[in-house]
Amino acid sequence: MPTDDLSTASDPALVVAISRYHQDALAEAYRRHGGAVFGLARRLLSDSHVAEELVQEVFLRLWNQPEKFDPARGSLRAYLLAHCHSRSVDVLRSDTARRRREQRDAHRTAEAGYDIEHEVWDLTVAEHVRGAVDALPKGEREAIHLAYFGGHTYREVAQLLDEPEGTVKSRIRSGLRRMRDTLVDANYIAFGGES
Amino acid sequence: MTHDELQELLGAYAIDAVERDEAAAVDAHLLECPRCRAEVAELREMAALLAHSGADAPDGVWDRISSSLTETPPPLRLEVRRPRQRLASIVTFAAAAAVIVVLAISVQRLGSQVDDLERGGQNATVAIAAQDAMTSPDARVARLTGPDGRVAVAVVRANGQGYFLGGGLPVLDHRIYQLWGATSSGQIASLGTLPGPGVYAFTADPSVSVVMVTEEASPVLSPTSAAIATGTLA
Repeated sequence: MPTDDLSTASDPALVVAISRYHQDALAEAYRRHGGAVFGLARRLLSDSHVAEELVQEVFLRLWNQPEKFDPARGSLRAYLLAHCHSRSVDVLRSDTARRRREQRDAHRTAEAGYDIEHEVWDLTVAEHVRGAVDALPKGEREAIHLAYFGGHTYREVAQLLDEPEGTVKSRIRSGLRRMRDTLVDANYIAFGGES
Repeated sequence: MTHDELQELLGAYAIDAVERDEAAAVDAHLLECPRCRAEVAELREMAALLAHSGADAPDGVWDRISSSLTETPPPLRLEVRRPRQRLASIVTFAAAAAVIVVLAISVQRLGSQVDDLERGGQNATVAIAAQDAMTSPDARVARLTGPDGRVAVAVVRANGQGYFLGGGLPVLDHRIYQLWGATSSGQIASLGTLPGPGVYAFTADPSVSVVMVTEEASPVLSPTSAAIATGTLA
C-alpha cells in the first residue's frame, strides 16, 4: 500500500499493511489510537512513565502479532484499548502497595460522585456518550466506573460500595448494555449480527 | 457454571473485572458460544467509548516504538498462529487447523476491471504477461471451481510470479474478493485482495499448491468464510 493512501485507509487495511511490514501503517495506527491508549493507561496507573511503557507494548504487539486483531470481532481501537486495559490491570494487581492506594482513592472518588462523563474525549462523542451515561442508574454508573477506571474486580467493587457481589456483577453488564441500547437508539452506533 | 451464570459475568469479564478462575471459565465458554462472543465484543466497544481521553499520542513513545521495529523484514514472515486465549476466530476454512501459518507474501495489485484491459495501460501488460505465463513450460495452472463450475484460473511460474484470471467473477456490492494460497500442510497465506473481476498479478511462495478465493467485507488476515472457488496448481 503506498504511503499516500495510509491516511485514508481503513483500520483493518492498516493492519493488513502492518502484517506486510509497512512501518508507516503502524505509525498511522499510532497516530489514530495512541492517544486513547495512553490516556487509558495513565488514568488507570496514575503514572505517565509506566503508561508510556504500556503504550509501547501495545503497539509492538500489534506490529509483531497483527493477526491477533480480528476485524470481524470489533474495531481496532476497542481491540487496542482492551489490550491496554488488561495489561494495566495486570500491573495494578501485581503491585499491592499501589493497589491499596488505588482502592482508597477510587473509593473516595466514588463517594464524591465522580462523573464518568469527564472521561470522554471530544464534544461530538461526549454528547452522545454523556447522554448514554446519564441514562444509567447511579448504581450501574458507579460499578462500571470503579471496575473500568479503578481496575477493580466486581468483588472488590462490591466491597467498596457495600453491595452484594451478584448485584454489582449484574450492574456492570446491564449498565454497559443499557449504554449500547441508548447509543443504538440514537443511531450513533450500529451493530451487525445477532444479539 | 451454567450458561446464565456465565452470561451474567460477561460485563465484568469484558472490562477485566473478574477473578482469574472466572476469566478462564468465560474463555472456555466463548470458544463455543458465538452469541456470548458477540456480546463481549459489543461490551468492549462500549468500554472503548468510555476510554476516549482526547489526549494526543506522546511523541517520545513513537520514537521508542519505531526504533525497536525490525529494520528489514525477512523475505518470508513465518508466524505461528496460536489458538486465541480470549476470543476464538471463526474460520470455517476446511484447511484451518489449530495452527495456521500466516505467510506475508507481498502482493502486486494491478487493476481491477476487465474493462480496463481493453483500454490498455497497466492491465493490458498484466493480461499479456498472464497469457505468456499460461503457455510457459515452467508454470503451474489451477482451474478454480466453485458450486457453479469453473470461475477463474490462476497460473504461477517457477519464480513465484503468479497471475489470477478472474474476469468471470460476479461483480460484488460493498465486498471484495481475497485470494489465498495454501500449502499441502495446511498453511494459508493471503495473496492479496481483488476489488472485483479482472486479471491480477501476484507473487506466491513455491510451496503454495492450492489457490482459493473468498468474499470478504474488508481485507482480512485469515479467511472468514468458506472459499467460493478452489483449485489445485498442476
